[in-house]
Amino acid sequence: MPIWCCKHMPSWSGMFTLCMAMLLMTLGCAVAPVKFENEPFLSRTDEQMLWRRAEEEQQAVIQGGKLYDNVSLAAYVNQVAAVLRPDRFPPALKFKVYITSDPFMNAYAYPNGGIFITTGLIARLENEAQLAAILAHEMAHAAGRDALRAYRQCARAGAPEWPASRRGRWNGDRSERDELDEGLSGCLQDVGRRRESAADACGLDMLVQAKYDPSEALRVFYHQKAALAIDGPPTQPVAGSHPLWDERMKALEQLLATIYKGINSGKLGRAAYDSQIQPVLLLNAGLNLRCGRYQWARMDLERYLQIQPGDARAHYLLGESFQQQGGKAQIKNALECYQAAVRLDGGYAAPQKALGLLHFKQGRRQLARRYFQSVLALAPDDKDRLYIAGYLAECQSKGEP
Amino acid sequence: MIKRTAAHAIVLMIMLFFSMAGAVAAAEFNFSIDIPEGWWRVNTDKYLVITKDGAFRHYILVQERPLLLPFMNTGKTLKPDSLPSEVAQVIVDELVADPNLTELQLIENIPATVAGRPGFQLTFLYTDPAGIVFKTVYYGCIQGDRFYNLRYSASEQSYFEQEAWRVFSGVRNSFQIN
Repeated sequence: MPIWCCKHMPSWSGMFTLCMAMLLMTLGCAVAPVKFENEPFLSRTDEQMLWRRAEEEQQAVIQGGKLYDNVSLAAYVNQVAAVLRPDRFPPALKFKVYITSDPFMNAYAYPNGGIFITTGLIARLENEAQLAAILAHEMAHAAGRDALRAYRQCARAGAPEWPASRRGRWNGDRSERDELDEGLSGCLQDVGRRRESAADACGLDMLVQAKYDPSEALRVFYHQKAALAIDGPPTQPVAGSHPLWDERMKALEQLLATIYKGINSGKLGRAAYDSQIQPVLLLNAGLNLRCGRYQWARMDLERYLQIQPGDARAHYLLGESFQQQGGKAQIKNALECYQAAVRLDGGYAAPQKALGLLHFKQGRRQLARRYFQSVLALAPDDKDRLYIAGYLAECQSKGEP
Repeated sequence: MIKRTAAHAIVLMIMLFFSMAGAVAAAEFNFSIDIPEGWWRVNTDKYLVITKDGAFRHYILVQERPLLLPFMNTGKTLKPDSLPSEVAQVIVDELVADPNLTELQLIENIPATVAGRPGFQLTFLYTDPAGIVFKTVYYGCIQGDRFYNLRYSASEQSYFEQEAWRVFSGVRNSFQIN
């Protein structure tokens, strides 16, 4: 289940969707009680089906072109997951972590051990210990067979208010899924509420066993609170127990003060994390800009510039975040950022184009002309070259200033 | 169940109230176009939509909207001093962020004169949720505090059928901002 769910994110975690789909296929059938004693993984058909659907959904995401292609980072996050994996987890459960190019903060696990984490969440985390806390939580969901648990419990409860005529017709259509959401979310939230806390506790134990600083598990919740302060509460119905962050934080604090009392430190892995996520910060800033999330883009870029202060592209993107947001003060900031980018890399056309556009709009045609000419010389194939040529012609026809 | 894009859904709903029109201007908007002979005008106070064979095959949509009205998917707004290239980029970002458009492929983004004003022309392909590939040519410009746009959208196989493209060129040439 997702630990995060933000504005514009689908309200559906993969697991939640799977449970819905599975329930539709088997409504009315007798289901086993939600107990797993002496029940090996994949020994029953419902779990086998759940895993098959999980595999299908994962393939759809993978083939959908949203995976972030960074071999080094993928190896890094999977290595963290491998370190976290306790020996007690069944061999049938094989974890694989995937990173998606998505500026919103989210992570979720499929019952077969597939874990997805967004660049938006990776960009917000401060160190490897926090990444480990997220991964441990998601791994705990898979190891706890929470999808199967939710599926069986809700099936046993008898899918509420679902019209029989629609059974088996679920085809992924949003409006029908929304109706499903209304019909079943109460049951799933009830399961989810309890399982989120269980996954938090199990994840915390995994974090301690792997020698990470356990207090970092709490820090990840602060990021979510900060997100709420910027974005506001989610606009869509949220599956699971996400409104219960305060409750979960309290439970974690209690565990840290009792069971893990005295463990006040551990591995943070900040340097390793910073070295891995630099390209993620730039990518995510670009994604946030495209979505009009200027404040988020600036957070990505300011962090990146702390690590790489001399990067012209980051200064340019920071300028874009100000310029696109607009307003007198922001335009002034944008100008400074673009100028910094040009100083750092005189052969980089993008900030020169941005400066040309700013001066052009403000009627400083001489300056604009200089930058536009520079852009066409530096990047004759620039995607905006026809626009630039037009603006340049206008500058020349109107003369000074 | 076949799911249409948001624009198509709007068109479908309002087609219940369609009316037929000849070569008339749309008086309730701050713009006018000549509606070609044989095309149906679909009544709505938000858009001007005309079609000949049904909006699921092709349609021409003309719209005006306040600059400060945030776009649905990105929340971005336009500014009175936004240049055509900047407006075009906002529209591209909006298209990219639209969950109903998959496999979006921007074919062209070039300057264009729209109703005598500096504007832009985008040409793009996308697949709607039913799996049908649509091709759209989209013109836009800013006048005062409003953004005007007109587009011709058609399923790819019918894009150049029945002289619809020629008709759209005529509509575009007749487009005037009052």
